[in-house]
Amino acid sequence: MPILSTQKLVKSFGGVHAVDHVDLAFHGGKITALVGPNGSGKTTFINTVTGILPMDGGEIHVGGVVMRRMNPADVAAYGITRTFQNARLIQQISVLDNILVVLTERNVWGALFERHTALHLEKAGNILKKVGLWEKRNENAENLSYGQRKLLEIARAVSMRANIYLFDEPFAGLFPETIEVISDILRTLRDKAASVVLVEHNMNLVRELADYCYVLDGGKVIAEGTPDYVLKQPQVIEAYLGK
Amino acid sequence: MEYLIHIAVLVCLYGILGLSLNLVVGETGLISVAHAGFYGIGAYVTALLLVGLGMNFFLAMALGIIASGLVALLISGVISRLRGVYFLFGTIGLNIIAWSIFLNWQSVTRGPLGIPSIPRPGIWGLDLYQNLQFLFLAAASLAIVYFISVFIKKSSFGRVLNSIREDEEATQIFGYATSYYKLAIFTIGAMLAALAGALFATYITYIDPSSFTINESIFIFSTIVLGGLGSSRGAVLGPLLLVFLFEGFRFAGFPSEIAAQMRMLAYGFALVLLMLYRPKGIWGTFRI
Amino acid sequence: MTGMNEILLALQNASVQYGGVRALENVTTQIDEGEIVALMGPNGAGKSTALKALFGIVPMTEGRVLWHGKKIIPVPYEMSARGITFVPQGRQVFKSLTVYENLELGGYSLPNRRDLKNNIESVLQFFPGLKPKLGVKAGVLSGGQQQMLTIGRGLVADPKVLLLDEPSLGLSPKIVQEVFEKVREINLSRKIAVVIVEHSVKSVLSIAHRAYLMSHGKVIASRNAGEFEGSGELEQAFLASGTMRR
Repeated sequence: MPILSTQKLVKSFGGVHAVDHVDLAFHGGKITALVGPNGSGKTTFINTVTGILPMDGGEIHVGGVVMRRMNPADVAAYGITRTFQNARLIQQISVLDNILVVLTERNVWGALFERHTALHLEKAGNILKKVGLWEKRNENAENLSYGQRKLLEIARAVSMRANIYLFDEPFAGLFPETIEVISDILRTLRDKAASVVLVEHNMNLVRELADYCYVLDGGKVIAEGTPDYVLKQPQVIEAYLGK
Repeated sequence: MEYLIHIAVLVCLYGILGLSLNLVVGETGLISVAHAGFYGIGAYVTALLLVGLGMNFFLAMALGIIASGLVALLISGVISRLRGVYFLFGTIGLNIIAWSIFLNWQSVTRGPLGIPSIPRPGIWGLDLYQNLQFLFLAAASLAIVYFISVFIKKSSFGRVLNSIREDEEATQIFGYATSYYKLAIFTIGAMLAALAGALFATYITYIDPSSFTINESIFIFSTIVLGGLGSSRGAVLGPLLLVFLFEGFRFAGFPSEIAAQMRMLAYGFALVLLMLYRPKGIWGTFRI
Repeated sequence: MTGMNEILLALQNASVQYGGVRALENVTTQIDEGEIVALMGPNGAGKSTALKALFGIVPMTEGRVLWHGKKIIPVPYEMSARGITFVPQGRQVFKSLTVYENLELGGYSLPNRRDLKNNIESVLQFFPGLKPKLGVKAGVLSGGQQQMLTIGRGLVADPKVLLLDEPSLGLSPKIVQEVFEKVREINLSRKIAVVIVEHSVKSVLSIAHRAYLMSHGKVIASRNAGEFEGSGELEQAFLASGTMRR
């Protein structure tokens, strides 16, 4: 039973299907890569599945149940978490606050009468130490370097303890050391039976990390299988290099 | 001396208004200029209950606060659908509607004639006729509102407000129903402004619609911009500075014909300088 | 590789940093008169960045731009007067202006109105499809027509070099073919040098004389266009296929 799957998902912009009747399934305990050339629909797919964009057709299933409510807060309640290519942090508050806001009470009344506890701090400490940002915990997020911002974005997602994580180009522009840290985190999430979805352009990383791979082109799935397999398929080569 | 006490009371009132507006604008990023409207609802409801029914001050104030909160709750549902600039316009409209009602519902509010002879508050049999006595009430109220403001800022709720301020969608993605938060803080802000209104009505003992125009909202807004958005300290010290600045220009030796205008000019000039050199305000933590 | 022609425009040893990320590292590319040169590579390779550094849109931390062999400081609004125009990606037409007005804007650096009118006339020879639509607001044109318009706009100033950033983005394969054919036509008849940044390599290699292959901010191969076929370098760069691994 996949944690998240889509049936004939459609998203169009002005008559063009950016996501064209797409069937994908993401299982727990696996890292699934979503690849494809520019404009193939990968980010639109992620945005549609996470409620940022309304879908125009098809169905999304979470744990076998059709997902009805699609606003972002409800999507989160289904156990779905995502990151953005350009990290969306809360710049004018501290690194620590960026994590705490993910860990604390969601309910309005509950939040009003709650101060963050030692337990919250412990959990925040664990994840910040793992990404190497504990020393910077009191810095405002806007003062972080590019790589640190991406790490904080990942740390926020991981703190959600979701069932499925969708990472949109988490490795773009990073140095090898940072790539190692993030790769490690993705593997740990997978080993804990979550489903990890990875949109990436760096094929070396896809080969290294992904258990399964879908290739999109022009909004359609043109190949699926292990990375080694799909990246040899002629239609995939043609999609990337042109006709 | 009496004059200084008077200034101190004004500082307390604007401090309460500043703190309440800071919760909405500074902490949550909702650019609102409706505040004088809620200030006015508190003032009018309290005044009418005191004058018309001879009610106990604290009960009248409480009802004024509740009335303001209810209006905020109702309106919030409508205007929180508006984004950015349109939300601002919604709050402008709200202030104008409130002021219009004060002005035109003459059977109740006596319109431009205002409501005179509002009694000073009576506490345990003591009527606070002396300004110094009133100052104690005002200062105590300021302290309570300051405490509430800090309490909210330090809570998890306060952190969520800061998150909404910067990126509401990202906050939703992490599972927060942000419209409830915005509704809650807008209502709390309105209720605290009404508290200031109740104090104002019983201090000056006369109110009319001219105290609750959009200009007043803008003045309150500028006090917290000066003090610094996102800071409780700034929300009190900003008004303190501006009240002193404003009153201080009385003594600048301008000829009486132009004194009032020179004060406005100097005040505007000070604001422009501030925005040029320190857009965060003096104690602020947040840039719009 | 330069032959008897003077090197028209060159980017030498360029490095660019965006907030801690090295987008370009020591990149050298050049174009001669009348050439079509392609900058190819997968996403994030730095090809658009190289083009933008050439035109002065992004600042370089190191490196220089040479025009007719002499060092210049590239400033975008001065480049048109020099004879270099830039067509950004995404079919950026001014949607609420008409087709004709868009074309006029392409000629802002021309000294007088008669030149402008004549140039627009001659540019429209290449784009007969736009002639009946001169009074139409650019926002209602199809994607392919908008792309033609942005290229046409770039030609109004009668440049010596045209810089095209990902002209095929978001266009269907058939339209992409038309656009590239049009670029070849312009290059052949007006001898305008063209630098094209493209991720769709087969399309661009079909019209380019030479090409640079980029990856991770560096130039990893520089060859005549035909020499890439069968070398496996393209597969390696885009799909990490082959024996070379990270």
